[in-house]
Amino acid sequence: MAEHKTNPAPNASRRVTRSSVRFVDAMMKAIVTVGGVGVIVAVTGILLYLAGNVLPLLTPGAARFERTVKVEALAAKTTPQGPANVHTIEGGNSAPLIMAVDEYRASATMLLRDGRLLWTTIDQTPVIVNKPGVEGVGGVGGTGGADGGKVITSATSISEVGAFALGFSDGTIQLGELKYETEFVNELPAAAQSKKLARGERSALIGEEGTQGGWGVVERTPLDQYRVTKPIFTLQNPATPEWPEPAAGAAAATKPGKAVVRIDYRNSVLASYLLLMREDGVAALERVTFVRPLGGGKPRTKLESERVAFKPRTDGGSAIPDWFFVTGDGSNALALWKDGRLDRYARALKGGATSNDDEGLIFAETVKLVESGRTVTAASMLLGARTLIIGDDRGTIRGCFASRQNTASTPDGLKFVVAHQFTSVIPSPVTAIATAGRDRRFVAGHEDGSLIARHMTSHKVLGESLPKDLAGIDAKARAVTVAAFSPKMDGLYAISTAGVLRSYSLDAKYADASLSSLFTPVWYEGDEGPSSTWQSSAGEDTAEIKYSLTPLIFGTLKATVYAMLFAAPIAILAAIYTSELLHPRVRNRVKPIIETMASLPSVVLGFVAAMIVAPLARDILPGVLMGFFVVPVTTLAAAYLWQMIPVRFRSGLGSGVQLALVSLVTVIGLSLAIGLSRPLEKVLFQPSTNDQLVLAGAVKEVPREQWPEGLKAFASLSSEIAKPYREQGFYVAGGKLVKPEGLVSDPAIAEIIRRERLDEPSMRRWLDGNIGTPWAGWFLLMVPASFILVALVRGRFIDPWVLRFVPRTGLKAAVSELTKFVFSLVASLLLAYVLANALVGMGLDSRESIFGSFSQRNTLVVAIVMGFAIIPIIYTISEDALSAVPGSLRSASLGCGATKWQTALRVVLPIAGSGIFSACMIGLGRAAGETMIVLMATGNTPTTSWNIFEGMRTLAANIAVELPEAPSGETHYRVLFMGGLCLFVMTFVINTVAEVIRQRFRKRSAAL
Amino acid sequence: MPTMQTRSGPLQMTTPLSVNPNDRSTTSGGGTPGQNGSANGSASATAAGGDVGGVGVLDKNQGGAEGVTAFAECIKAGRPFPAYTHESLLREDHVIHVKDFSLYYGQARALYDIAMRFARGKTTALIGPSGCGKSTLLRSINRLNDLIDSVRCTGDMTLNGTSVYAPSVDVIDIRKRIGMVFQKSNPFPMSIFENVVYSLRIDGEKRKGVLQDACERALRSAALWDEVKDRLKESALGMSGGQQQRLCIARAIAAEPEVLLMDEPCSALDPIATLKVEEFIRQIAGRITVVIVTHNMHQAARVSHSTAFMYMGRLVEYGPTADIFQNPRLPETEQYVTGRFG
Repeated sequence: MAEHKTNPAPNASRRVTRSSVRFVDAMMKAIVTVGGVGVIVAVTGILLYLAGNVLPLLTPGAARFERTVKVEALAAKTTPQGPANVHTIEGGNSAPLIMAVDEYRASATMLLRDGRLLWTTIDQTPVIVNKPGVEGVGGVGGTGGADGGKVITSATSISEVGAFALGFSDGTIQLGELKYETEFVNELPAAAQSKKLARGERSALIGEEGTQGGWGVVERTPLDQYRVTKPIFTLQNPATPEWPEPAAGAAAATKPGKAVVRIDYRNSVLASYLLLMREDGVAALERVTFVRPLGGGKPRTKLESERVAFKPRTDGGSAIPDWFFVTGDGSNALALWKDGRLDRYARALKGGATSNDDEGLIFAETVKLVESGRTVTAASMLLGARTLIIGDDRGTIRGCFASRQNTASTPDGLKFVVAHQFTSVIPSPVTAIATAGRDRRFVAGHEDGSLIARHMTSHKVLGESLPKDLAGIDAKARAVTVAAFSPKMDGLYAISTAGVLRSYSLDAKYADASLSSLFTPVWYEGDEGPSSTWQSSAGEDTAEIKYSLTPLIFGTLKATVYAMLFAAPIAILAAIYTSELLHPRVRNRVKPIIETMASLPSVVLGFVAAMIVAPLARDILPGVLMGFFVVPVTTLAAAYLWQMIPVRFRSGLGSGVQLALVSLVTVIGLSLAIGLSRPLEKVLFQPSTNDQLVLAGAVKEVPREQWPEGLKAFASLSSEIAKPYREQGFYVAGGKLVKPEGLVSDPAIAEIIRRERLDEPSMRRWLDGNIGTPWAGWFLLMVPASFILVALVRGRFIDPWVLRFVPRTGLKAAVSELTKFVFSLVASLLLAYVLANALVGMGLDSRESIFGSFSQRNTLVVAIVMGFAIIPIIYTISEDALSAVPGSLRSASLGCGATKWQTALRVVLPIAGSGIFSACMIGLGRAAGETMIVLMATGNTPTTSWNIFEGMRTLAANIAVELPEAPSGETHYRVLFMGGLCLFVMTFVINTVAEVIRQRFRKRSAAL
Repeated sequence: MPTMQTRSGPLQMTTPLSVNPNDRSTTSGGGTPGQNGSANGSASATAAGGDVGGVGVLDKNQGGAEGVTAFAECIKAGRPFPAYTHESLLREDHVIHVKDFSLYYGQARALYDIAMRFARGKTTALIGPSGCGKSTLLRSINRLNDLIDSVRCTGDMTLNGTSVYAPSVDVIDIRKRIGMVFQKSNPFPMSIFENVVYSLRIDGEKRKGVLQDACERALRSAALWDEVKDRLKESALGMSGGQQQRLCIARAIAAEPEVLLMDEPCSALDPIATLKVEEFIRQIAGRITVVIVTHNMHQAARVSHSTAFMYMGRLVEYGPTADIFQNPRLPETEQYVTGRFG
């Protein structure tokens, strides 16, 4: 530095970079770095955010052991003989009949077998209080009490509403409620004045002896209020059900008596049902209503009896079922024995019966739910009471329900099936099953004291007890007699034979979705079999929510595939045309025009799709379909004709004129397609006289005896099943097999036909399966296939043979080419005719392929409009790839005497192939993520069929539709995020594959 | 360097020009006066000059005194120049006859009424400095210039008597009869075999035997057979530069064309590879008419029978190779071949 100062002269001429330049350089480097890193961070952040929202879905829930409360009154007085059963009252069993925990998990209330109530705080130092519960009950079990009073002989409760029902030895029943009441007060209640409560601290509240309202739990809230939670136990007046006459022969198998030994109670908004069974094998289904007396006072229980044609079992074993359940809608009664036999009684749909009188529940079927050698040890009904959960002596749990089966021979067309099976690691008998009140989870208690909470739909394990939780309990008396969820399902309780109440807190996370339920078929309640269904909301709380992403992924793929089938050939051919065949000057105008198509907002395209294209496509449907056949054929024919024009005329035409001619040919093709659609519809989709008669309603029902053999196995008929028999004149109308009857000339029928235009050909009616035969569809499908086949055969065998007689160039060659084309067209039509007949002969229906029932918002519309959205992308990138091919290769090929098309096909395309491939992949990614078009132009129906005339629901549209309704942080919300993640992964995989392939091909062209 | 777009203004009408009295064949039909309707105003000049399409000689006595030759005058005026064609060439049997051929890139004129003939079975070299239009002329013969945007041309050429530029001509047919080798080797990204038989493939030839024979014959001609006969199925892109260029030559002659156009075929090759290409050219002489564009005057001297010197889009002098190099008639040619400019 010193030198610089002393001798500046030599350095004056030296070139220096100004500090401002250096500063700008450094600053720009920093900005670019921040920007670049920021982009990477943002993309990673999005991925992590999605994953972070999805991850909790996949984590299993956990039950955390809290404490045990020893309740002496609950300890078994004798060693239990076999597993306990809430529904049977047996001597020596001291397990409570009903147990309810309050919302804040501070206390539990139980109804004991002697009619007393037991209330206890769930605390380190429990306060246990016994109160009188049901009046007039004396003694326990058996047929009579020690003091001669009635005894409780059966009991059931509905945890979700806090209702219960009791059956007594004198044949009466009594309904009641066991609930909690919570109130907030500013002053500490007098009963707990002696205590000083810190915030969050609890204390038992004991009122005067003998009053129910006096006891509860008080907690000081963080806001310095006091929350008092008290159990409310109410009982209706006892009611005496009406019993039907015992079935003949029943008495022999059962012992006489009038004690209500089995009781099941369902309480829903629509109706309440009570299913009862008397000691002598008489069963009754009672419709329960509560009548409030005019003068006030306690409401009276009113029972309306319906007959249950119960048949006591006579094949050994107990005559009376061990469990007796009624389904939530009162349509089924399920009698279950310990050996796994289940007799189902169903409300009969009297097929062919003249009267509509409800006969009550009649016997439907007998099924065996467990393998022989196993014993059912516990059973319960899941939320909604359609699914029966049974546990056996090896710890296996099964979920069973009546499912719709076409081949079921039962009166109601249902068949009782075991749909879910949960195998336990510890083969300890299941001794208690409890279900939750708000979703489809259940907990199973085993003989060894272990507890496992699971979800029926997702099969997810929500929480498990640990062996060390049982440390303080006598090893022989650990069997779980009663298990329960807390009302908010955040707590789990189990009482063991030793009378110890265990308390767990349950963090089930997201119970109703698991990886397997999201991506593999699940047997949903009532369905024919396992299926992948998306149904994220339902009309009632008890319905099963169906989160299967498969139909959405399928819908995304379907939309993408059809859009690509439409867009990719057009875009690539357009790119080849402009890049290789069109004069550069014209190309420079055409390319930007196509690229402006990309700037159309997709919501506008969606709007156009929904409002213009969809109705238009509906109205000119055959024309649109014809277009796919006629336009290519017209273009080919035009090309052959073009060859016949002498070179002198055609070489003088400029590129622009050629473009105009090609456009003209396309327009001619389109108008031909529209023009030919009417005749085509007439040929292919003309309704037969029978079709017209059936559509006009002129039919006669066919008695079952005259049904075709193939149909006799079916209990209920649908059009699908009966379709093969249409040729024989059998139709299905209103679920009945009918034959057309009457004449189309009949004035009344003719009037209907004329008004409804039933005699006109209609592709839509054909698609819906109402008219015609599958032949037409097969014919249409086979035409392109046959054309390709014929072209292959022609190229291999005919062309070399023809070349022997005809020169390669000149008018003669052109004529021979045109002749060959016409002949192969005719040949392929004939071949298609033959193939279609063959396929019909094989009994295949074309309406189950890419054809099918028609809806206006369909895949065809989406394919066309979304195709328009992705054509510019594929076109631009493909065109760039083609243009990037070195001109020297093009010159070399043309210099060899190749035509432009030969050059494009043999030299340019193989080199540009990788670029075109990645163009397609980018288009694919765009189509997969497209939202607005599919949202607006499809029906958003999450179906899984390739039917091009039906809509679909894509992942993107699903998120757009449902995210506003999904409560933040809940399962639904997270499942939607899972959909987003799937979409992300799909596009990521597509783009990565595209890039890898592109890089591989790039090496080849890099050497040029 | 004077631009080819010359200004308008009074044109020099007194270009010293005389028609060679020995020229019998071309003066009669050749000229189409007034065809040069370009914007540069040379039309008047042509009209004044009479038959510019003919083969002419420059009167050496004219213009030499001021040190400004007639050629320089033409360039200055943007007019075509009637080339000096050596008499001996006119007697040869010709395959290609270029008739007053002019070519424009948009407004710019690249070729000025070129008139010359290429003798059958002989090798003709086109020499001249960069940008003189020799490659353009070469590419005009098989109409590859058609591919370039905004190219238009006047005049005509004939290939064996049939017009190349007539509207009724199928350009594909023309190109099938003419092979071409480019400055930079451009093998297709396919196997060596497929490269060679490309011309046959596009003609629909499928018989394996025919293809194999053609491949071997072409590769042998190009002196490549021994080097690649064991790896015909391998990609052509794995070959060395010299091999690639010889492969392109083999590809160009596989379909046995009448004419082979070579556009500076050796400019990117090392001396040994160059030697092999030159050897090839000498060998096929007699069978195929070769037109070769080269910057290398020694190469022109070595391989060609006749040489045409072009400058500024005009054919200046065209004669037997020995004459052009040793006894040029025009001072421009002499200056160029002796290396004083260009």
